[in-house]
Amino acid sequence: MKKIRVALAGNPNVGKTTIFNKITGAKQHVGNWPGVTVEKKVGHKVFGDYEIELIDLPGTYSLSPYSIDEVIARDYIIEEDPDVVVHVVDATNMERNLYFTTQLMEHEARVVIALNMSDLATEMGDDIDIERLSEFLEIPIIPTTGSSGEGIDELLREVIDEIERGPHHHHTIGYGRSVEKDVGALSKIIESDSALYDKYPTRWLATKLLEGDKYILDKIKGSEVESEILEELSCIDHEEMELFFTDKRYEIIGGILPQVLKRKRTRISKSDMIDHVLTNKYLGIPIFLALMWGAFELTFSLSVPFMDIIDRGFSILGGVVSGIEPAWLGSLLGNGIIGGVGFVIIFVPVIFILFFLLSILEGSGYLSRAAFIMDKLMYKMGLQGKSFIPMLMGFGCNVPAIMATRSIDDRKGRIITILVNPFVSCGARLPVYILFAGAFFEHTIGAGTIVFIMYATGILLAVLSAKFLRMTILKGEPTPFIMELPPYRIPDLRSSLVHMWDNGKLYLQKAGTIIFAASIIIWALSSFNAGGYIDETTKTLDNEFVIAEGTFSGVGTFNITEGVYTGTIGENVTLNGVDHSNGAYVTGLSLSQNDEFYGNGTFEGACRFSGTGTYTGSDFTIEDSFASDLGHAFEPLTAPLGFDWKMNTGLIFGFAAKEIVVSTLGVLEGVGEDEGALSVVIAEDPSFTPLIALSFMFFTLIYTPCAATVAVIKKETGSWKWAAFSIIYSVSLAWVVAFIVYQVGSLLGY
Amino acid sequence: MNDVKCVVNKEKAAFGILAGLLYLFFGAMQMFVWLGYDAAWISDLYIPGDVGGFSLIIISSVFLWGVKELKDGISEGVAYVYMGILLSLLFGIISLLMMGADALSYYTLGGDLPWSPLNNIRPALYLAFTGLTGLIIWKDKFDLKGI
Repeated sequence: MKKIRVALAGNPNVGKTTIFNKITGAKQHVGNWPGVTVEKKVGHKVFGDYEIELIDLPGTYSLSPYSIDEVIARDYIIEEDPDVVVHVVDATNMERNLYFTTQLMEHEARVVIALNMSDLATEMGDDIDIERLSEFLEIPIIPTTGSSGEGIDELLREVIDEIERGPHHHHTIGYGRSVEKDVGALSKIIESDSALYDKYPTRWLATKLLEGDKYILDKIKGSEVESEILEELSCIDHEEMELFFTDKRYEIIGGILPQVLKRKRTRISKSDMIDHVLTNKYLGIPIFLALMWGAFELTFSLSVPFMDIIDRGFSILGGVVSGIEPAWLGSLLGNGIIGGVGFVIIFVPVIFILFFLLSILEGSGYLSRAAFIMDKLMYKMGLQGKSFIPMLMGFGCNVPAIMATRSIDDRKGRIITILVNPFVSCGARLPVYILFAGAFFEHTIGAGTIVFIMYATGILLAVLSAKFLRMTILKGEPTPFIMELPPYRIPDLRSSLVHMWDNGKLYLQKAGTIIFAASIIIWALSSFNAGGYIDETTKTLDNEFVIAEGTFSGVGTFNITEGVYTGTIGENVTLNGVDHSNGAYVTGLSLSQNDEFYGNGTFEGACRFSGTGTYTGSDFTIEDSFASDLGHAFEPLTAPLGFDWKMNTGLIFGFAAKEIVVSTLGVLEGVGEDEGALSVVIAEDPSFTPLIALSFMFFTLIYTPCAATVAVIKKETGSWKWAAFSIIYSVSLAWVVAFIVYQVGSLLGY
Repeated sequence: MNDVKCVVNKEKAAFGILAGLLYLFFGAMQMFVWLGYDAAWISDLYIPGDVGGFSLIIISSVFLWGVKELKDGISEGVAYVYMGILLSLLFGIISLLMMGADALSYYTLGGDLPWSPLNNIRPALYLAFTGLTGLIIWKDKFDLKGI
């Protein structure tokens, strides 16, 4: 079996990854906007007698790159020298795509053109004479439709034929006598250095040197002919020469196209008509907001029944394991693992549905328009529209979103986009919003609306922070935004489902690994103190509302679930069908559900108690634990935000992964062994009010990126300095926002 | 030929005005109810109090923008009427799916009150019949093949 390396290259958003997936059977993410692929992806395919290593390269417009993803594509083609480059050409936009073909031709690469989306071009009224085009370019061309897989086998056959054809003809573009003289002179010098001559095509190297390509100028550094080359280049105006070469290449394309392409596009296309409305100067942003709001409302509504079913399943499971002996094992399984992992799994339907809806918007081509309509606002804030796409990707996960900033060519703009990306609310933060919005706002403003506000606030803070950074530490003007709007397409259901599954899978993987481990650690911290495992605790109550099972003694209101009471009764009340006068003393009175009275005495069993007294039992052991110490240590800092120690502990562990905020609260509230769901418990817990819930949601939205995001910030910026800055800045901003929300809300009487 | 085109555009403008005003009225009412307004007829029209009213106002704006352009003789104004119809249907489908989710929730897990479709009726749902009417009248314009 012969092994060959084939690179899939071409302009952004022409369908390279779709073809890659079709050939290799991979499930790489495909989107309808430029810049989806920012790293090269490798796949394998056995075809005939050949084992093909297929490399899916990020999109690039030329071999003179401006952004990091383009550099990756250029480096691979130039340095790795694949056996064949399959140039994927968008048949609906031939002129711009063929520019890259001319560059590949000059580089003397073996090229096979996949004329992709040829079905779409035909539907749009384009008639392409493929045979003639192939003759002009002297390159084999295969029409393909990546989405359906049409032409893929023929493409692979042609790749093999190209390999078997032996030495291939090198294409030359003539640049006129004057420039050819310079090209010739430089070529002659290059040929005298065998290291350069063996590695790069001489003529291509000469033209790139004349263009003043920095990458190529670096390549000649240290060469024995460096000084000669530099001397030859000393009187060349590189900028002018680059423009000249570009014009010449387009001139050649302009000469070929009228002979091979007949266009019947006379009327305004449907795509243009849709754009006329969706990119309207005044209506574009409101329509975008309405669509996003609709997506969140639908996500929340559709996921509720599925969440309830999962919740019920975990409640049953929790009930089964809670009776396991020894008590610590039952607690570990019930409170620790089921309470922790379970409360993350519950939100799986939300994650899946949201990603499905977002991928439908993405597949339709609408997200590119979102970037376009946001460009003006983004520019005012020191960024460009291109930065909006990583922000939208951040809705899924900030890690790939930060990697997607590689398509931004302005370095400062890219760093700003990286630093503000964590403010975009990722899927991991959604459980926190769903939990609190469902518990406190479902019957007022609406849970979906609150979640939408959180997401919108994230975008707003990202944009405002960008402005702040541009005005202070990363001063400069953003580069102008040039982005090709892809045609609208009916979203491919399979791709949307794959995208949904990929993101949902990440969430499930985290639940099974990081969150599983974190849940056990949190359980241990909340069940042990210096004295070992905590079985029972005694708690002094002073006008504190508690829900617990144990023994209460004191003065207060007892709301009975079931139990026995001994003491005086402080009001005229009927209990167990017997009228008790104010001050009556009862001994061993058995009480039933919802018997509520004020009294002074002792109570054994399960009840809600508010008043002054003492409690002894197992429900508040957590307050004597290490977790309590940890949460209490941060109380001076978070008290002005309305947070208690449990929230603090949740936030601390949330640094590992934001989902852990919810699972920690699940463990700390002891929901794993409780019959009520976490949302019911926190709704009844007086530590939480709608205002505190809002303050907490804002804090969770803004405060430190998770550990994985911090790591990718370091990797992409190449500096721990920016990673540290991101943590400090976001925590400070989170504190300020939560402080304003809580204090202003309190002043307004909420 | 131009006369025929003019008559067709007048039809679309008339449709745009009607649909735009309907969406504006119900969108504004939904927002007012959300802000605290209440009257007996509000519940007769199944108008809930939530911020969803703003999406109806945006659909209204799309229709009315198209009317303005058509009135100014800009033929691309029809694009707004068509997009208004699509948005109307989209938000109608969203409301229908939300209704379905509520029913699913009740029939799988039960609830305090018996589920009734009347509990989930909202303006976005019944106003979608406006969009549906437009879709039926100009169905040939909504062939999404080769957009």
